[in-house]
Parts: sequence; structure tokens; C-alpha cells
Amino acid sequence: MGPMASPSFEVGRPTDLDHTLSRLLEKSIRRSTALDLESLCIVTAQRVWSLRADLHFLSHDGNLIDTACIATITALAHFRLPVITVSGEDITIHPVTERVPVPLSLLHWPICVTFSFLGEDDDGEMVCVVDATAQEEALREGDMTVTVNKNGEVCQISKSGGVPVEAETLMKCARMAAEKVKGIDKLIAAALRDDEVVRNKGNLDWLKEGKSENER
Amino acid sequence: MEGLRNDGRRWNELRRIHCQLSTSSTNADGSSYIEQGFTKVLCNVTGPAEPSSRQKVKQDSATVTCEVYFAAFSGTDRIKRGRNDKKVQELQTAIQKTFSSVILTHLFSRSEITISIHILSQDGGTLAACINAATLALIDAGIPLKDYVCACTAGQSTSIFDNEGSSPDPWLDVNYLEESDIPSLTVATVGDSEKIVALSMENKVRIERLEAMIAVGISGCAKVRGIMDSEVRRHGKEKLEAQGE
Amino acid sequence: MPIQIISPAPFVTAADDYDEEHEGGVRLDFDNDGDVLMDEAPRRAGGQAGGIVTPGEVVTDDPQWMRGHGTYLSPATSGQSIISSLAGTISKTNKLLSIRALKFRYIPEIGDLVVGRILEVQTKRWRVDIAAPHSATLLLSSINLPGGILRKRTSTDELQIRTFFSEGDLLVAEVQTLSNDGLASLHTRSLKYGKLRNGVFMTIDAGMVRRMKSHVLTLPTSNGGGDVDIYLGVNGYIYIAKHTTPLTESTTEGKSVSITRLEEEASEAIYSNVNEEISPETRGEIARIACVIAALAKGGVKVDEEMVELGYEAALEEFLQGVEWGGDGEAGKRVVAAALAKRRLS
Repeated sequence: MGPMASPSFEVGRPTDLDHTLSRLLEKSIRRSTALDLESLCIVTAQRVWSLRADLHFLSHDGNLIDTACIATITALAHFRLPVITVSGEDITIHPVTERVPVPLSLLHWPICVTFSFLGEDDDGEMVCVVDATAQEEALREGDMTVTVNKNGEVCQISKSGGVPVEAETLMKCARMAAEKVKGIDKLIAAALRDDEVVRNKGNLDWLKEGKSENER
Repeated sequence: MEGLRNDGRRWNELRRIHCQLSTSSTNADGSSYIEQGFTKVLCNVTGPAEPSSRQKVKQDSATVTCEVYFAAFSGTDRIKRGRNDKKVQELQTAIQKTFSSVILTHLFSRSEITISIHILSQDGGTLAACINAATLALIDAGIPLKDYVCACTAGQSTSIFDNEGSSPDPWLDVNYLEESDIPSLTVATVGDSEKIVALSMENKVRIERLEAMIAVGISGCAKVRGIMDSEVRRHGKEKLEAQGE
Repeated sequence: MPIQIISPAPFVTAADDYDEEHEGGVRLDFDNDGDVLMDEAPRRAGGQAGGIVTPGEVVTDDPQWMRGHGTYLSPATSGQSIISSLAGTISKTNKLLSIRALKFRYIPEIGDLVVGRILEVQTKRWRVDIAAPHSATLLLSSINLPGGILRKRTSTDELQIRTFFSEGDLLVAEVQTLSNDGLASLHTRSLKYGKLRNGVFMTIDAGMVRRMKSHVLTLPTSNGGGDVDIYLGVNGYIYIAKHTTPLTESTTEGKSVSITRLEEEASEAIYSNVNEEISPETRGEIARIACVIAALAKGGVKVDEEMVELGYEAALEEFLQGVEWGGDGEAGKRVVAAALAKRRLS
């Protein structure tokens, strides 16, 4: 998170938001076992793939958590792992030109939905806002992040502090999150599908390019 | 519905809670010690005092700072958790945010209230015990709070599952074994308003089950509040009697 | 100080009976077998045993009361009911309702005698820790400068500010003014006040010092200890030192002929950092007084002149019986009990 996203971020000094974000993503994606870690194993108890997701925030206008989560999930779903063959002691990593790389085995797509509580209205009803802008975030009195997948499984909930909220409102939020996630899930799927088309086409182009380079 | 959990409790049974105020008489304005089962937490509160650094000065309210220390021997494995450990940071942020909204901070401008928590033993419900301990220590320090903040955990058992549509019992106040086994959540409420100030869950659970878990957690919180309140009253009475003589 | 852990409470067990759960309503019934109080009596003040209110408790719904310290107005009932934010006792002054916490930080008030420690030396002023939410300030212009009370402050004094008080020095002072937000400004413009030496510093809870006419006591001690001065700071900071004659003489006798000369001599010594020679007997008695005060505070007894004297007597008697004592534990409780018994007799 650099000053590029928002002038309030300083270089080299992790803020509370940093910690919350990385913990939330870790809880949402790793602890909910979204990624089948066993599939990343090359030789049992010896060699494994190591995956690393780097997030760069280019512009901050609120709701970093949800955006970061969607970005990570999409990236993981989009990622292709080179194929390997193990024969005895030898491990061969096939270059992408040789064999078509395989996608990661993502068991489900956990997606974060953050609610911002803007205080109670005149009827004592809590005003909740989904996908808050930076301005709304500055005004909010509390927030809650719910991570759900499209099957309606809640992977993580976190509401630390902020204004006290009725349990019923929270449940309403959770159910709403489950609905929203279905939509987001479809969006990601569509984007990936579109990309697949381009990629398949592009992949060939790229292969050709690679070959011509070799010939040179 | 009948059946006991691995430590012989029923689904709606709290573990023994033992709490104490003014446990350390020096260097802290308020202190407390709480045992929830085998989870043992010690908490000291200092403040309102002069902020330790310029950054922490707020012109119109007090800053709440939280420090959490895990004793290396607190868990089953001997793990030394440093200041930058993610779990420590997360606990600190959660507690700090929770209490910032409950302490009447506007009364103490340009000062700092430090909650320092030492976790001596972990047996499930660490966050809950930390929150409860901090509430007691703040009360002991005479820092104005809107109300008690009480926390409790609730789990979702999977063992007695049947397909008839009747959901299995949620379990109240999970211990370490249960916590690592089944999905569980921590819920913290303000007073007996049933309003949730903090909620944290780290495992996967069906959304339909969530409601029952939260409901059980809230009821647990109310009970914990009763126990804590009676300890505060007992302590206060003792102190008044001593002064009255 | 060791952590006190009292024996565990009896186990709380769950009752068998519970209703079939419905939305949002799980009933938890617990047996009440022993000390753990479970009665969910309507939470109203006054009716409670011991007269204690706890945070979140509704103190009154009556709109005739005004909200004082330690309370807030409930937003749920649109500011009708007054709710406690502290654990403590209710105090009513006319129509003002406030809660006094059982234990709280020292809040400075004008005229309080406080013992403090220098935190920081700044230009023309010191910052003094007086156990309050904010540190107090002591201006160079509000101390007695060496060479007589009426000497004009010069720039040399500003440069030599550390020769008067430097970081870590203890002093006794009076709260002179308070700013709007509770910041205290101290002064030591009397020979009663100034730097402290020749003794020990100790702290107790601020609320444990009873406000009195005079917070500086001189206690004649036995066992050849001579007189001992006790500075009972209202802020809970206490200093116990060997009695020093010239300073107190000049203030008590006020109008003696040699006052100016005496003061000059005294003022030389005022900012000295060197302790005098203190005999082992005096040290012993100073330590005993410190133990008595600690035991009183620990026992929840407010510390005042009378209690210190009675406590000291009781401690002496305990000592004569050949009991070793460090101000703590059972002996401490016995001394406090004996002191209380003495007070009841007198």
C-alpha cells in the first residue's frame, strides 16, 4: 500500500489497515481451505510449490478489503501451474510451451463483503452500506466483513469494535452478503471465461512468437 | 439432543469462570485476572495518562492502546510470539477497536489508556477471555464505560448431524479441542442490550447455522456478564466495608 | 507484588431443562449452587446490597435529576434515564447525581498538596508527574529561588534550571491553577514546599489519602528514630523523610527576627541533592511508617494523620512481640485491625 493509492498511506509504515487486510485475506482464503494445498505438493514431505500473491493498490476509494479479496481470488482462479512429472528422484518442470499448464484446484471462491454501519436512523434502525467509498468509510461508525462463497457457506466473519449492532441486523447483513456473492461470483466466472477465449487464441500467438525467437 | 461433550459438559454449559479485580497493586490503575476453564488471562490497565508518543495525542478524546503478550508456555506447543506476530497484532487491533467504542473516551482528551494483556494459558476462547479481562480491569481502574463488554464463544457441532433438517446443537464456550475441531465464533456484546460490538469467526459454516450460533453466543455473554457483575459488586462491597470502618 | 489468586469458585453446572430453541432465543438455565450469584434482579440502583452501581446500570429514570460525573444519558430512551458508567457509589448533591468510582486516577484541584517527580526539564518550566491523567507544569517563576523569596528571576536562572530541579527529582508542591481541560500548574512558593530528600518515596491509590487540613505530618518515633516527616500527597504519592529543622522552624515561627538569614541559609540547602547522614534507627522507623501506610491502603482504610499514628503504634506493639514484618500479609492485616480497634476506643 503506497502513497499512490491514497496520500494518507506512507511508505514503509504498515498501518492498522495493512494488518487487518492481510489477516482477513489469510483467514478468508487460507483458513477456509479454498485452495487445495495438497495439490501443490510435488514430492510428499519434500518438495512443494510456493504461491505468493502480491497486491498493489493503485487507487483508494474505499472498500479495499472486498476489492483485494476479489482480485486475489480471480488471480488464483486465473493462474496456471506448470505441469511436472516425477520419475524417481528426477523432477521435470515442463515449460508452458511443451505442455499446457493446469489451473490450481480451488475448492470454492470465498468472497468478502464489507458492510459499513453509519449509525442509527430516526427509527433506531441501523443504516448499513455495502461497498462504501472512501468518504463513507471516513464517516462510518463501525464495519463488518463477512466472507461467503456462492454455496452459502460463511468462511469468516469479523467485526471488531465499532458501534454495537443488533444480532438481527448482522444476520440480515450475512444473508445479504450471501446474495451479493452469487452476483460477484458470476462476474468473476464471466471475466475468466472471456479471458479463456482470448487466452486460448493469444496463447497460440505467443507460442509462435516464442518459436520465431528461437529460430533467430 | 442428549449427550455430553468431550469434557463432560452439555451443549449450553459454560466452563467455570473465575474472575478477580485489583490483582496487582502496583504500577497499574486497574488490573484483573480471569479464568475461563483453563484459559487464563491477566490484564493491567494504565491510564488515563500522558500519551507515550506524540502520534497518540488526540485533541478531543483519549487514545486506547492495547498490548497483548502470549506467554511462550501458554499453548500446547511452546511458541514464542513476538510483537509483530500476526495473531498478536490481530488480537490487539480487535480489542483496541472494541474498547475504543465503549470507553467514554471524550472525557479524557489528549491522554492515553493502555490495556496490557498477558495470556498465561490458552484453552479456547482466548479473544473472549481477553475482552472479559479488559472489561474488568477497566472497571477496576475507574474508567467510564458505557456498559460491560462481555464475550463468549459458540461452536457448531457436526457430530449429531442428520438429514431431517433439524440442525445439530450449537455448543457454548468451546475449549481448545473443540475449537480446533469444529467451526466456532467469538461474539462480544455491550451490556444486556444484545447488541454485538465484536464478532469474529474463522471457519467455514453454513449461513443457516450462523444464527443459532450467534444466539447461543449472545445468551452466553449475558451469563458471563452476570458472573462478572457479581464479582465487581462483591469486590466493591468488600472495599466499601473496609473504608466504612 | 505477587498476584493474588483466591481459591476457585464452585463449579457452575447447567440444568437439564431447556426450551426448544426458537429464533434468537436460547434459554440457558444454570444452577446456583454456591457462591456464584445468579439472581437476575431488576437492575435498579438503591435496592442493591452494598449500594454499589456498576457500568450500564440505570441509576434513575426520574427526569428531575441532573447528570453528574460517572454517568451518561441513555440514548435509547432519548436521554430520559441516567446510566452509570463506573463501578462505585452514588453521591447526590442537591439535584446532581454522580457516581464516585471505587478507585480512580487523581484529579487535581486547586490547593492540593501533591508530591511529584520531575519528568522533563523545558525552558523556563518543568513537567511533573503527579499521577494525574496529564503531567503538571511547574514554572520557573513559581519556585523559590535561592537567595531569598523576593529575588528577581534572571536569565542566569533560566540557564541554570537544572540546578534547581532535574529529571527524576522529587518535590512537594501545591496545585496553583487549573486550566480549562484539567491541566495543573504547581508552585513551591513556600518553605513548606520544595525538593524532597533524606527519605523514601512510595505510592498508594489516590483515593486512599483523606483530604485534611495539613498533609505534612511530623511523627515522633520511638527506638531512637527521632522525628520523621510524612508528606501525604493528595495524589497518592507519599514521601517519608527524616525531620529537617530549619525549614519547618522558619515557616512555623514565621516572624522570627532572623528569618531572612535563616531563609538564605535554608535556600542554599533547598536544592541540594545530597542526602544527610541518616542513622539506622531513623531508617528503620521510616521503613516501618512506610509499611504501615502500605498496609492501611491495602486494607482499604483511608490514610490520614490519625490512622498513621494509630497504625504506627500498633506496628510498634507488633514489633515488640518479636514479629518480623514487611507491611504485607497477615501481620499487615493485624496491624490495620489493631489500628482500627484503637480508633474505635478513642
